[in-house]
Amino acid sequence: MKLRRAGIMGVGLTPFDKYDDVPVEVIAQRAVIAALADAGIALSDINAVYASHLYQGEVFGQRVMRGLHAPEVQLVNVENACAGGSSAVRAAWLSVGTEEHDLCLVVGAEKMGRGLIAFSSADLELTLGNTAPAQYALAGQRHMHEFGTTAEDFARVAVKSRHHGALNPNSRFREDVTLEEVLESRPIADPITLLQCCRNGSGAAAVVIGSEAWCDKRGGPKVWIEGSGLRSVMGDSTERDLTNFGATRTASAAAYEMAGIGPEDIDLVELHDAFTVGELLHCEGLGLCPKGEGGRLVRDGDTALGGRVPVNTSGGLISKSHPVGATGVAQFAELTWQLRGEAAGRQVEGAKTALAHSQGGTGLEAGATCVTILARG
Amino acid sequence: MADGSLAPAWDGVWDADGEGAFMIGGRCGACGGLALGLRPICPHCHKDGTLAAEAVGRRGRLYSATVIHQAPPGFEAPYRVGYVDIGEGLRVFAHIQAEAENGVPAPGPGDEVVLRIVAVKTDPDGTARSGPFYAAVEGTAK
Ligand SMILES: [Zn+2]
Repeated sequence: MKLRRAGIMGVGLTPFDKYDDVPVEVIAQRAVIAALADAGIALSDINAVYASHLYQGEVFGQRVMRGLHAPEVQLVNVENACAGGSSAVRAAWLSVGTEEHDLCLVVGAEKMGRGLIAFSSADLELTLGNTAPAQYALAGQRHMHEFGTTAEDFARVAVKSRHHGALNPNSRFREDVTLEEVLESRPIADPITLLQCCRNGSGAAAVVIGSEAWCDKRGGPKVWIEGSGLRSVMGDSTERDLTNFGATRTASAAAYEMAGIGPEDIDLVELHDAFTVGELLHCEGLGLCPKGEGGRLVRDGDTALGGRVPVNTSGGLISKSHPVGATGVAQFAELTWQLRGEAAGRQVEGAKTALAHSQGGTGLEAGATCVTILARG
Repeated sequence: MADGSLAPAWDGVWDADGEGAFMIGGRCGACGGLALGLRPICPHCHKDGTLAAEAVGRRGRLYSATVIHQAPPGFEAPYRVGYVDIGEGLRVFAHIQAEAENGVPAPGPGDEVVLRIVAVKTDPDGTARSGPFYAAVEGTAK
């Protein structure tokens, strides 16, 4: 199907933090208000809303939007674990692209507690003591076995991302860390240490997606969505290659094909680095380097600011923390600022084409991966 | 060794007999396919009620393993977990031998392993629960 062009008109972020005393609806409303202002539109202009969350209960999006006196429009709540935010952006983009609507709002928000994420679905592996970091660690251990990747290679991802976070005023953790500090922080699931794990967080992000006519009306630099792939792993105690983490290869192949480009055309990436192992394996899955060479990619500084293809200029989940439903939407805020040339302190000079990647699920065998490609107009 | 006295952490996925511990596979009487655990619907041919129990996974090959240091409630860190390939395309999540035992080193990826059923977790009321545990097979480590 041929889609008409749709672009990102506005973005808003409630920077991720604790917000113990702020209701999640308010956290979300602040991001919506910022995105509407950035887009230069009124809420009454909106034709549809897509709301992403995981833990916030029934009709979460409606609870957010009623407090802003939203019009009586279509609203869909989207749950796809940690890929929920990007799945919501994708749905809104398709809605405009297929001419169902002209102007859509996406809001992703979450308010979370501390510690390991508590999965609510019954799962054999989790019952036997598996954890989210251990899932990544198991993939990382296999990668070490097959390709000689080292614990230092994974730890370097955290050093790189925390440096990016130190440059980003929206980041929650703004101190540089050394390789030694990362390696010597508390072990969580070998080879993953504490500083290689994202923290839980609360926060929100919002995006306004409009037709070409709406984008023209806003004026200023344009940011188009050129393609998107959403794929799911639905393994069932079968022998999969876990060094192909999640559905990143199939989702990115679909996105590249739709956009008519390849990984060599990407100038920067926001990627789901819930744990450092994930970033290294996802870089391979996106085709930023050949399989097995993720360790070299980060060793050579290719994914650092100033490198060939900077990954997570925002600081990533590692620096920002991870309010599940907001995480994927926030990636679009960072990439929009980058493509407009508004990412002060961490700007990728001349960035034309960017990629957003998010990934979520329970266990290594059931999960969603969403890859979306954006381009400066 | 196999301890039949413990309540399992999850019903119907492992058991033990005179030959030792095994995982419970579900063999489909309609298509011959094998699944892990008895279940109503065959994942291969989608027929309902065609699976019969079959002992599988007495031995396997370790695919990957990690030591968990931050444990969820009911578990005592550190402990080692991993994936074991048991043939016919099946892979099992289990606890894995973490230290050398009687001179047999802990298994690494690719090594042959043998199944035991051991206590893996404790309920809030103090009840111990069993789970699958794969240990190295003497003389097979690479
Ligand atoms: Zn069958």
